[in-house]
Amino acid sequence: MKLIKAIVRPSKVEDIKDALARLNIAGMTITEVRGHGRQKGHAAIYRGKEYNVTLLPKAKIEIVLPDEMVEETIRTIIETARTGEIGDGRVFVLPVEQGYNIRTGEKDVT
Amino acid sequence: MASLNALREIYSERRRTLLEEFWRATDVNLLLSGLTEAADELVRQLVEIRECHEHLCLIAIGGYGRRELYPCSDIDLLLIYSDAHRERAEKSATEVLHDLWDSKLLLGHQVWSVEALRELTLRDVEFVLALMDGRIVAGDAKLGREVLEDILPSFIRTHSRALIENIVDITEKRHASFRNTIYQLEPDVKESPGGLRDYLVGRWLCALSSSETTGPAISKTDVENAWGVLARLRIMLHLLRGREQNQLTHRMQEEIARKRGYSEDSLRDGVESLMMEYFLHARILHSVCLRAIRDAKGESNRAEDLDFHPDTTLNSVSDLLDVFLRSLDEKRGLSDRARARIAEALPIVSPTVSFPDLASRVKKLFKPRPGLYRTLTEMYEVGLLELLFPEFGSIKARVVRDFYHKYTVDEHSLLTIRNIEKLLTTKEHSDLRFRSLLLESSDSELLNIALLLHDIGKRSEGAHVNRGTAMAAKALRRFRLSTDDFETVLFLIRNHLAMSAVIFRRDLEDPQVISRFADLVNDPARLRLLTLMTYADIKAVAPGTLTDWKKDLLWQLYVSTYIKLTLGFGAQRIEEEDVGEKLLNHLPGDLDPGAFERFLEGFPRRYLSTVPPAEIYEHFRLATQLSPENPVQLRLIDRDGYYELCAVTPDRYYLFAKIVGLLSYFEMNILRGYGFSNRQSTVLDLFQFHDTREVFRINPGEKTRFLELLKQAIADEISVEKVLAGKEQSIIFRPVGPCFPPTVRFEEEFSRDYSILEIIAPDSIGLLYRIGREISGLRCNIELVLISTEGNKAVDVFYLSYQGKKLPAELRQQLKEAIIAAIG
Repeated sequence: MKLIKAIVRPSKVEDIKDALARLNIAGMTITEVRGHGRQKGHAAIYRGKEYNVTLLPKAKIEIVLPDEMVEETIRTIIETARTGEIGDGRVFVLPVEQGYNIRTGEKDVT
Repeated sequence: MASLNALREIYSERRRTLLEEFWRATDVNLLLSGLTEAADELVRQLVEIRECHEHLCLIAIGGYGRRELYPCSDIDLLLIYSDAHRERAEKSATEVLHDLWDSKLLLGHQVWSVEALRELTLRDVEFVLALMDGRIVAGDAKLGREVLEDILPSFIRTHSRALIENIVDITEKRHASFRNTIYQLEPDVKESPGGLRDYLVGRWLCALSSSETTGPAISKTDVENAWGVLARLRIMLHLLRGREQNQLTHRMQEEIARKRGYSEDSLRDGVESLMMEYFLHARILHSVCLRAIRDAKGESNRAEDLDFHPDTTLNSVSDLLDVFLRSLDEKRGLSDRARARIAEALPIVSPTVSFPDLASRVKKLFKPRPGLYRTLTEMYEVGLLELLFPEFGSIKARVVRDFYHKYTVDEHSLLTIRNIEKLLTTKEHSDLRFRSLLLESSDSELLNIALLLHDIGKRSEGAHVNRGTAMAAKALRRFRLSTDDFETVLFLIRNHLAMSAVIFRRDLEDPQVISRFADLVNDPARLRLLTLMTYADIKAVAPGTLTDWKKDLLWQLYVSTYIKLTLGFGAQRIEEEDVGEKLLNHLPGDLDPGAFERFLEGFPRRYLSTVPPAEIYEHFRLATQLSPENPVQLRLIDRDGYYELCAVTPDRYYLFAKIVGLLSYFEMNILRGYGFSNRQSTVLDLFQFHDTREVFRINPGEKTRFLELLKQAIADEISVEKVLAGKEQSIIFRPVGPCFPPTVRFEEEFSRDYSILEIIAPDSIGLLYRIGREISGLRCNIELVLISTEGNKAVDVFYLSYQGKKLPAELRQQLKEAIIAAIG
């Protein structure tokens, strides 16, 4: 099992959800986050003064998946989230040791 | 009463048995109905356990309702209750749903009260369609009957017209999202035009308007058989992927071929026959759907359609041909009635194709004019085209798996004729010159005959041109064309790839290339037809294949050859000789004439003929700015539609490799590259490339970063290999399709001064970089590189020299081995 963490543009979340639904991936956690990568924020003007917006709003999507689905999922996320402009985001893949269903107490068997 | 766990176990066991049985017998109906029954049984038992059969009804809807439950599809259940028992019903519904979830069932559920269902509107059209296939599975049957026998029929009665319009609208949008063609390289067996959904649309529309699903030329058995073939593929996809995947991706095509017994060596045959089977049957479902839509829109028998009197005789091929010639002459499509008459007549007409004015009528049929593509397609659908040209039937739905041609061979051939037809009325600026060629050609019907037959040799593996030419000769003899016409058509078919080969793989500036090609064609009229043929052929490969850039190249070859055929090269050569003089006369005042002359010395003549004078001055200016501190001068220009990069530097090997490496990194589509060097060892590399992904346009900063990285790479401050590594290892840029061994070969005859190296290899992001690195490693100079990509296949042609001459045999062998080791 793997945990996929994708940091994407908030405007892309719905598209990604739809694209993942087509892969039959329905379970995911979405969090509103802030951060910056290579783009390092940008300068904005507010009431005549320039200030730095260093932490930009992003969305974080987390999905736990069996290993064999990881590649297709990453591909789908990237293809959907990509605009070609700086700031499209990042995808990370982390190993998951165990998973449990709280209501039924069942352990995920892979 | 069995426990939940036991029920779950029984259900899983039944599924397992059914799936195993499917792999043995591949019986579609047995599996789909078996899975449905297993799910029904489980749902019933759960309702039994929860004792909720009095105030709740479970109705199977959609595919599950039709008893067509695919292995990984959702089990669509509608839970119905009456408002009077709302509280108890909600509790029961929650319990049953939890049990179903815990049984790991893929559930798609909706919960409605009967009262709410009475308020159904057209906004719920998808739901209404799913409900049309509804059947009661468990619970209170009285509630269920109220929905299925009262509410639904009365809704349909009141809204049938609007429902029909909605279905047509949804279907047309779905088809449009696939560009309205069944020909997809990776089709979705459910949603693509021609997919299972089309079959359903046909059924829905017929049910709503109480008409027939089939029509002329398609029998009910054909349709059911086609549905069976696609349903079997969908089941296999679900089983092989373990989830609801309906897209027949390249990978799945291979996996299914393996399942059908093809070995790794014969996998390509396996995939081609699988896809041929798919398209043959998708055509049937698509045509059923389109017919139902036409009926629904009242377009099947319009007054303006061509119809004929019931007494009209249709006894011979000649009679049938007349019908279609009339349809073309009068610019009217056939009515469905007329089509049905022809389909009935066809099996009983004499198959002999022989009547007095055969040749002239066949020529008349193929004369380019509006409506020709539609007429030929109709003739093909009813079977008349095959009667005239049985050879064309041998490529029916034939798929050649090259990741390049989007259409089957027969459809590709018909589309080439449509491309010629469209030229007649084109307003597209870049096409007008080709239109003028078409208008000048007096025998353009021969072009269309050649286009119809140009790929008939593709019925089997291997070189198709010679086989196709021989087959075409046989066909043409039947029509008793005049010797001239016969020779022209055969010439076109035999040489239909000749112009593409020159354009993409040879230097068009080289007079020898033009001269050889002119010898092959040897006649301006034939040159015109061959140019049009190449235009139509490339354009019919896939949408977007014939770019403006390719049109320019094709035109350039046409013009150069035309001049060669009509005037010869004499006049041009004199111009070339005094070009140096002319250049000096117009040299801008700030540039030193002496230094300019030294700069030009040693550059090949083709530099002067390829590059316009204003550019040459700019290149010289860049060269004057070179210094030990500034060892590289770069200039990036945005030309209309493509970019041009010029790099000037003192003699440095690996320059080419570094530039193409970084261009690949920025995902630029490299069109061509030139390398020139003069006696002072100044190297000038010119690249034309297309920013297909619009990286530079969207991110203005990236252009600067590209030039910065390039400077650093040329000065060896960074390693291009390292820059490329991240992309080379990414799954996003992994080559599509199966790997094939690269071919690397030298062509020694074509050019007097250069060794031509032709490499065909699976396209990948660092390919050109690796080739360039090996060439520089052996101290060879790259004079010109022509780059083209056909699907997953990269075709790169290098004009190379070694110490100003062709490469010696030993070096050629060494380089070949080095390149294969680097890219193999």
